[in-house]
Amino acid sequence: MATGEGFHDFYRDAYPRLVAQLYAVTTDLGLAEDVVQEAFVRAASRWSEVSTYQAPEAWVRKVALRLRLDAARRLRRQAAALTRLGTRPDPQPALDPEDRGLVEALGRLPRRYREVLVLHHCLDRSVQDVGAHLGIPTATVKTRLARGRAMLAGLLEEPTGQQQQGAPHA
Amino acid sequence: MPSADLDERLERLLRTVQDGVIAGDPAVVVRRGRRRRLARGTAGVGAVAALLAAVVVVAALLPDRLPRPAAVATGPAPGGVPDGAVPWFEAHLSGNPGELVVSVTAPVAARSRPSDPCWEGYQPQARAEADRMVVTVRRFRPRAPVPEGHLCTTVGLLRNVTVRLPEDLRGRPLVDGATGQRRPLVEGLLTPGWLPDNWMPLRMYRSGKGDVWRRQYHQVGGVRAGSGPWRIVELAPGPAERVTVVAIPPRLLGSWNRWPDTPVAGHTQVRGRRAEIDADPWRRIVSVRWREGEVAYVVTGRARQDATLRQVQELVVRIAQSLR
Repeated sequence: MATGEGFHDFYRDAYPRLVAQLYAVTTDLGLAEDVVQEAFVRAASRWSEVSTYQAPEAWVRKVALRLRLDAARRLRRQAAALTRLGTRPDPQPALDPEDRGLVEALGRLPRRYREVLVLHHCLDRSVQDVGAHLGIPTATVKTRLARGRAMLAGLLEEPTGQQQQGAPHA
Repeated sequence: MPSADLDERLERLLRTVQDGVIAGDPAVVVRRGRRRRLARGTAGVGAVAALLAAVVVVAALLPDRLPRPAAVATGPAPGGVPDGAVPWFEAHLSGNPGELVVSVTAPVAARSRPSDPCWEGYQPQARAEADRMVVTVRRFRPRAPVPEGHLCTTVGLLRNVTVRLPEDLRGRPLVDGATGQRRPLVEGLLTPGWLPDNWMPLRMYRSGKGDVWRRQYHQVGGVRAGSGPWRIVELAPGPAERVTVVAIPPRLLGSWNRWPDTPVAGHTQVRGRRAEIDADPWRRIVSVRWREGEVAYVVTGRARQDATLRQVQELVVRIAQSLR
């Protein structure tokens, strides 16, 4: 199968969604874009195989989540270099104060809590699915969900500078 | 926090971020993927093949982002010194072919001369790409820093900046070069020429069958202090929590955000038309509504607890009368 067949539509449809999901996990839009882009390149390089999967988007998400742990640092440095060369500005999503407060709170959560919260709450994945996705036991997912929710609730109670200031261009 | 609340907030966050993300050119991704596949396939087939593979791998490592065309400054530099790019809020058709008007929030003193320490000037730039049009508004500030003890209000009015596009838009999405976010091209929604000090846009969205435009404004606190970091100053609240400007089809004019028994509080002139004012004491909202040809407008303010509806009416009417 030629890579172009179906890939273009798949990419255009899934890219914004996956970037938003990775942004919720990383709280860094530039990093989210970079790892999702790289995951799509990998999908394109083996599209004849990936396109036969039941959920190609889940495959790309899984690759992107894995990439963010190590390769993301390298990609970030490359992106920073590109930014210094003036090829693009460092992107920041335009959020209203409430959403910005949520992102700040997510950013202050330990990564292990943040990723289970996002996978479970944003993607409607069962705890079993989240466990399989992250390679951790179901009981661990439940524990992290409970602790993550409690921590997030506490963090959202705290006023932050951003929330007081408001978003200049929400 | 209840799970349902968290679900809702996370979902809204994702939707907001997703709406602002634009997928690039899939052909670039496919090309990179093809190079990867080639690099994998040619590995380990002898010295010559290895050399070829090395060439392919080197090619695969080259940046895939094609050099973008240079941004075209579409207006003269306004003086002062460049101070980075400032996000813009939305774009309107100016009425002239090949021209857009984008709105930025500006301090009240932005309209003064460059000798004013709080002056700000703007220069638009536009860059046409294959699948999008990138518009950047560069800000200029006075050469001299803000004097010690001098305060500049940071918000207060919308400033329109006219952008001459290097080529026709041809349906391409507009992207703010300052943020990388896609921004809406607003058709049929008017912009206030006046907002109270420290009011600014909150959000803008399109709904219905794509024929309803809404924009909300709210009050924020903030001043720019001379020297040192930004400082937040608590300000006295205005009479309304927020004000919404809506452009709707005329058939919705009478019922938009109005209960059937809402009393008419009076009439006023807005943009040369007779506008009706209604005040809902139960929901504590005041609306001004009128029709202009095939579009109708409603400007609504929701009162703060300690404000009177009369105060809200004055605010809403003044904003409506400033629309242009």
